[in-house]
Amino acid sequence: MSNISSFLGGRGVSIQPTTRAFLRSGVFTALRDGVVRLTAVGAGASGGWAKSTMGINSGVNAGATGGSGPGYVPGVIFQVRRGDKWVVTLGAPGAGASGAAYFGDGNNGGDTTIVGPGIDVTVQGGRGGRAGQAPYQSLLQVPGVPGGIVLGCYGIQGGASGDISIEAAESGGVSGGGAVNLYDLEAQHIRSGSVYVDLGASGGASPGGGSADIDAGGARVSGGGGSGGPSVGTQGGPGTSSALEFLNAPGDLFRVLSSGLPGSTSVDGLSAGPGAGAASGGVVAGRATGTRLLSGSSSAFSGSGGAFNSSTSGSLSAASGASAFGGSSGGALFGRLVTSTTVSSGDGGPALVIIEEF
Amino acid sequence: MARYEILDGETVINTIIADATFVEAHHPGAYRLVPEPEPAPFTWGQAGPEYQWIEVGSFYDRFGPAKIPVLASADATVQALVRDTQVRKYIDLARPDVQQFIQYLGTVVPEVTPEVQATVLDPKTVDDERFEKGLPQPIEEP
Repeated sequence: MSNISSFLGGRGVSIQPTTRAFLRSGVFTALRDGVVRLTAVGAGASGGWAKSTMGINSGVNAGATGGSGPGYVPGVIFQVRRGDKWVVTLGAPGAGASGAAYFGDGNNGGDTTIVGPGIDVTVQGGRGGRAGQAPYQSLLQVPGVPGGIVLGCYGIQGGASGDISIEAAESGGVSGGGAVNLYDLEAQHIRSGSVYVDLGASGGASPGGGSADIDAGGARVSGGGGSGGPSVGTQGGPGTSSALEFLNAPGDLFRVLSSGLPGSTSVDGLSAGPGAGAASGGVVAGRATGTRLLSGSSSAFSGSGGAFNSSTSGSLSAASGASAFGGSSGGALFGRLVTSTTVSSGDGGPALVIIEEF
Repeated sequence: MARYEILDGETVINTIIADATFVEAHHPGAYRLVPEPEPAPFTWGQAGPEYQWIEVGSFYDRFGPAKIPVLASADATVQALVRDTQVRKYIDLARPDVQQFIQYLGTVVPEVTPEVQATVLDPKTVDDERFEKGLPQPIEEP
């Protein structure tokens, strides 16, 4: 990525950029000939939702993945002339998804576009999570969704959501939401965990790392990724160990804002209330105890955890938490067909565009 | 901030966050406003435990015509339980000992019929009764 000083040609020059932040659509007008720096985070998506009809040796199982992370423009330089007008259109976050019967995909985040003289950029929103069913004791496969990309300039693809792939499934599983890839991590290091065993729920991913897979022999939930690394088992990922010393671009500030917040630890038990953290953990409620089940909301740029409730009595609901800027929500699943159940994924996080004019 | 669907004919090609001026200027005639979803109804199944905390006076009012026979009961256990409830800030209808108290009343005060017991222990409270005021009123499950 180009360094702004190379464009300005001087050393020790302190320049206060004119900065505009767009939280809704608008028009940017260049004040002078020169360069601008574009930073953009696409809109997050919502996770899929499902209800299985699991019974004793009957029914079907179901799975739902989290939404994926959106595209990211990490401070790209463009030349402008005074009076140039860029139309900045902010994609809407994917609204949380729910329904009566029996499964459905999440909603994509809308595309964010910046169009004008010398620029035609599209920042895709995250892709809505998928959902599906399979016969009892059959292979259940619901592939995760890839992250949104950037068209028209340098950009970074969002993190994917984890797969659901369970041999001889009897119930199902859910994966967490994807994250904005602020650190340009390799794809396998920023996706939310995949689920390979029944009753599994993975945590959301964070810009600093993904969430752990749910494998045979391990816990049925994984923590959310932290800004300093991925989650390990049920533990949330670590926060950033030291403050960043240099802030050269809004993207650096984003990293600071998402630092020091480990993913919340998952709860494998009765319930989990809204939690704080870079990304929230997955949650599972056991079969015997009914309760409202909500994976925690995630902070900026991170995904929320998947939520899986297989209770047979009680308040009977499962919901994944909402996400902040650019984050996507996890999948939500109710594991038994019970009337009056409520299953819903949280809303994706809103998009953000920052234009600095030097 | 409103949510608009951008249309190509009848096909939705994007969903954006904008105000009416922006969307009309840049997508004239090719958009529609996305209605804000109705908030999910708040049902009794979602109500927290504080909904079953009712004031002491309201608790006894739930007995209706059976209230005075209860308060005037000569039964020593009833008298002790009444005194115990009257020093409380509120009565938690979900507590097992409260439910046992009501069942005991049914055995010694004839006016406390099964119907009265059900009324007293009904977990669906109203604001005037509740110890915590101003809580949103839940609705029946749809």
